[in-house]
Amino acid sequence: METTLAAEPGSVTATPAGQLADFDAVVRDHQPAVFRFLLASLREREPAENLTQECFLRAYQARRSFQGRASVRTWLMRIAVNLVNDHRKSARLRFWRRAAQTSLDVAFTGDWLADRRSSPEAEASAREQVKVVWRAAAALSERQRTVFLLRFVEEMEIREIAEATGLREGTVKAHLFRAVDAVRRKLTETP
Amino acid sequence: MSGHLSSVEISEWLAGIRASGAERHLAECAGCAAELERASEPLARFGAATRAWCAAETPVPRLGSVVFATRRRRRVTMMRVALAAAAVLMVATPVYRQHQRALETARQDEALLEQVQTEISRSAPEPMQPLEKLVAWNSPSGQSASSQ
Repeated sequence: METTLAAEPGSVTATPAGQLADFDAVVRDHQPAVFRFLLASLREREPAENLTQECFLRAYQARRSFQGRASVRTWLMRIAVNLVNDHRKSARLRFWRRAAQTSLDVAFTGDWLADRRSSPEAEASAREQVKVVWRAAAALSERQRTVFLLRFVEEMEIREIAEATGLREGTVKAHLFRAVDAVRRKLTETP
Repeated sequence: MSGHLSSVEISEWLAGIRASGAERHLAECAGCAAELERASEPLARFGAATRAWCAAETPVPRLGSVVFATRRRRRVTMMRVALAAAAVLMVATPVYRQHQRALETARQDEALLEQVQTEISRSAPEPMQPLEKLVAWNSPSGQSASSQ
């Protein structure tokens, strides 16, 4: 089943330079997605905020080199992915390490399910499922987790993920398959 | 495609690997379509929950903060340049003044030396010079003095 794609913010103009001419609009349109990806990747608010700021700062400084081959969102996500990689290299991804090593009960996810109309049992089951997915995501490799988050949180197309990560589409699919398969196995194991 | 979709084929489909046989089968087999739907639900919930959580955590947009940060960096750079220039001036000014003082002292020394040279090159001290004129006729060049 194909997941739906988030609408591309449309407040920018068609030419590459024009798309970044109003940089405040670029920040306004894309900051939530960039922050979301960084927060989901890092699981720490402060570094996510700092890297969001850094992402837009780098984009601003490199705005003249933007050629419009990819969308602004994909271009920003590529910068964000690189920032996460740099951050990882600096050995500060404490959350994921902790989550991967222990049975840490992820604090947030269960409380953020949108559908409150279902029965308490169904809601509890759904909450548990989300927690299992989080734990499974914690056990993925960095690259698998990045493509997994870009696909299922950012709802990006395979082509966009390839552009954002600098990987080939086939490689993205392979990572995504391993990630999905691992998550599904974890879901099956959980009673 | 023979049989129903395997677990691996469902994972492949969710990962964007779309075999044409699987697509045809899903169009015809309600059981596999329902299985795919069930498999995709936790992933969709995970995405929705994460987006909702992140939306609640998203800081208030600080419009222009990037431009502001860039300007601030530029200001900091300019301040650094100004501070460096001031430091150079602070070091250079005393050196320049010292150099000027040394030149002035050298000029004064030279003038004094010249004065001393003038003084010692005279055959008699200045107050005795009129007397020297009077005794000038005794000198070997007295001829010219007497003829005056």
